[in-house]
Amino acid sequence: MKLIYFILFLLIPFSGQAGNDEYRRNMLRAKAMIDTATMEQTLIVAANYFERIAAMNPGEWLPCYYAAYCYARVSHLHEATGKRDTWVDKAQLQIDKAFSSVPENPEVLVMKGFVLQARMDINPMARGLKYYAETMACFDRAIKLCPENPRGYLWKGINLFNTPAMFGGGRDKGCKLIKIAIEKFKAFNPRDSLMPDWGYEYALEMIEKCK
Amino acid sequence: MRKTGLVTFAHSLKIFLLLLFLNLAQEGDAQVIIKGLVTDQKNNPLPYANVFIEGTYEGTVTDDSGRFLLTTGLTGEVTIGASYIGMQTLLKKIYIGQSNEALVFRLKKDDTVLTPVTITAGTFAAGDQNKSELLKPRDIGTTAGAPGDLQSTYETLPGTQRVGYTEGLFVRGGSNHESKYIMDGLAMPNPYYSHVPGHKQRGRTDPFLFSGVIFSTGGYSAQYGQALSSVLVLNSKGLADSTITGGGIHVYGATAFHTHRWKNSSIYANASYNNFSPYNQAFRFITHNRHWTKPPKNKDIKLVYRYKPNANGIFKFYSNFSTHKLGVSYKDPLQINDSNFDIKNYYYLAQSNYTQHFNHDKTSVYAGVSVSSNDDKYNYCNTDLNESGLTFQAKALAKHDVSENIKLIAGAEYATANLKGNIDSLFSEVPHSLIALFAESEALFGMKFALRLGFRMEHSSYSKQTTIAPRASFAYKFNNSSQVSFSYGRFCQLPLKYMMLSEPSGLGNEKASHLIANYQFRKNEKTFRAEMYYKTYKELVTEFRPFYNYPGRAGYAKGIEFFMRDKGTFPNLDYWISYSWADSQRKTIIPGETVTPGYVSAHTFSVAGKYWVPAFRVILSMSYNYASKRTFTYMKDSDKITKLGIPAWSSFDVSISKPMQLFGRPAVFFCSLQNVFGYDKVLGYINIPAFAYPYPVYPAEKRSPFFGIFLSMYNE
Repeated sequence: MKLIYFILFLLIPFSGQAGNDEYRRNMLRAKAMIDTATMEQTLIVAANYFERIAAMNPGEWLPCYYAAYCYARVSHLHEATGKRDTWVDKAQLQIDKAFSSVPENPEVLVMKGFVLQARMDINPMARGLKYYAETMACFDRAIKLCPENPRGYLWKGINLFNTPAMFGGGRDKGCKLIKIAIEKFKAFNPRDSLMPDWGYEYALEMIEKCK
Repeated sequence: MRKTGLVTFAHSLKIFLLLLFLNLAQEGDAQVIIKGLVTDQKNNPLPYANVFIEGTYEGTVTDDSGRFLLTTGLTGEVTIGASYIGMQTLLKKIYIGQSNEALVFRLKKDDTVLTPVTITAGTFAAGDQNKSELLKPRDIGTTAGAPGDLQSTYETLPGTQRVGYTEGLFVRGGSNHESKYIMDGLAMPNPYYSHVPGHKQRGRTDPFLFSGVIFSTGGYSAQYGQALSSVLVLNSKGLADSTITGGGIHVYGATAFHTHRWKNSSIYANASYNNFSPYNQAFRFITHNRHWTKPPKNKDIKLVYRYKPNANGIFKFYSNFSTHKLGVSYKDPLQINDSNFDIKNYYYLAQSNYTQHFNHDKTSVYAGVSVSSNDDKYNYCNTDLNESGLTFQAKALAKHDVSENIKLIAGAEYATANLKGNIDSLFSEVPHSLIALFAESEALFGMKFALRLGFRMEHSSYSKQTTIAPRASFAYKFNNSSQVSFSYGRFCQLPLKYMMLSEPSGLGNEKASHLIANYQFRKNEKTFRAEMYYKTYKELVTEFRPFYNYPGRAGYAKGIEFFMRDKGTFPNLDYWISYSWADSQRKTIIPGETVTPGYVSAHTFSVAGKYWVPAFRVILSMSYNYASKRTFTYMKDSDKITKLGIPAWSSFDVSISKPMQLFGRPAVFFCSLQNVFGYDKVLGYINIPAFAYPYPVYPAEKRSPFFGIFLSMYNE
């Protein structure tokens, strides 16, 4: 009997499931922050949290992915201060980490494009030439790898929507893809609650502009 | 037995719950609040800094006043870290529970330590990878001047002389034959279309095929040789991003290309055709002093292939085939007949190389081979002449990072060439070969001090000499915005082709040494640099045949140069300004006399800028170049030294690119005007065999207009 207690006692702290639970619990907490975040501070808090999770779980790409997402969004909020490049640098660092562990993952490719897009948005006239094709290539590849993933269509669509027709974009082209994205969002069911599921609200917002 | 079993279960459950409770209670008991403050070195609070306990999920973020509260259930010794964007992460060990006074983290700026120093003496790097580089590859294609030509961009940088009567880079008192093009590690013979005397030609390279270009105005790496003054190192792009088809049509020709991307490979094919005949007819009213018997015509095909067999290796193949024809007539007021000069050129270059990286990019090996053939068929005053060369090159090199701070490069090169040509109606053939070994090490001491040492050993079968050329550079960084660097190097090269052909038994290597001091200041989007150099030449070959080895064949060049680039001050405007002062003389133009070469101006000034005009959605590009007066010295009646003045030269070039849509596809309309103010004074003098005196060269056109439209289509 003592043996059973002893084994039980041993199992509680050392169970493999327990370590994984710790990761999931923290991920879910951090992810809940970004789902509702509209303020810079919340995003930075979440990004820092994801960075800590990434440091604890070096093999996982998801914490880096979300940290990149948060930093890229922070860069968008920094419109006036001229500090945007530094935030994009932080996002870049995180997405590069994710990309090096899973290079052919559609979600990571979308995020890579999202970060490149954030970089391009800082100075579209000077940077469009360099980043436009690269950004589009990320979204195209993501769509090719997983045609069911709505985020590739959404971001490609938004990119086209915001690019003047004379540069190869256009409102109509963009709206067509955003519509596809909406359909895909309705059908999309992430396998796991940790997996990316963001973007639907943004798609709805964009589709209003298309009307 | 059964009862006992149940009791056992109940008992163990009780114990389990007890354990769980104890565990929770313990956690609840030991909740500790750690207070603290995160500031920079000047005690300014840092809001939203990341505060974390190392090795745990626990952490928090500072508030607007830089303060944080961290609640933890941990006890004992823990390491707390604070990190902030652009700052170095600081770690502190504390013992929880002992004393809980506020922790203060004063973070240091990242940039004072983190970016390592780079050697900048004599180097203008253009690339996408490194933010510290001064130019971007697209700057090269979009600077006003000859459209899409590398040369006209580099002529706006300090150290180069703008010479109107012939192509090539004239760097720091050196002639154009002292500058070499290197593509993916291998020398590129004949980088310009062949010329007739006095008519400047364009380069064969397409700037958009390269992801990085390093222009060295001296003191360059031991990896390269056979250039006394300068090297232009072109690094080609890897796999193409996507499948695109495109083309363009412009005033003197048309071009079409297709890029195809597969998973691990890509191909790029380009064909272009140029014919100046309709252009010269249409713009007859502005052509000036050039008597075309055959306006230039050329065909050019480029084929580029890339293959990536694995994530860390790449195979590159580049080939270029072209034919080029032109003819001019030189009007001679003293002679009744004009002198006609025609040329037909056939050129081929094929180059392959493979690079493989090992153990996390710490080691890499490279191997490359190239074959090139250049055949010039001249017709001069109804006499056929020929000059041709067949070159084969092979190079292998290995790079290894011994540690993060010590890098080594070593390699070997072999080249063999067969030169053929007519010299004074005699046919001559000079087969020769060259072997080179080189090694270089770069060491970083701390982040502030870098040292690069290298040597290059060469043996040429033509000069029958073995030369050892040492190179050394070091750089010191005061802070993240300013640094100094110094460079010293010895360089040698074989004499000009016509000299080699007329002396098949062999001539010695020409030699030069460079000493360069550089200061660079960079902050945000602004750059300022100043450079001083002293260059000595020795064992140069005198320009006239009987005097090839005339005693005292030395020379020097010295100068000061300034460069400034500003991308940040004015919205949508990016411009750079260069000024160079140069003093150079050599004893080999007139045997035994110290003479300044006819291409050297004491003062050279250039401003180039690009402005995005939001209202019209166009990019306006302008460049202004000025070169002070020069002197052409020659010997009349083989004993009397005569000097001819060449007036100060200036040119203002403008170009406009307008992105637009054509047939639903992205397109760019491009137009440019070179020499807007119509400068039409003499550009320089050249020696033409039939004439007793130097022949003056004037601008080909008083103003050179160019316009065209370029279209590209994505195939999704």
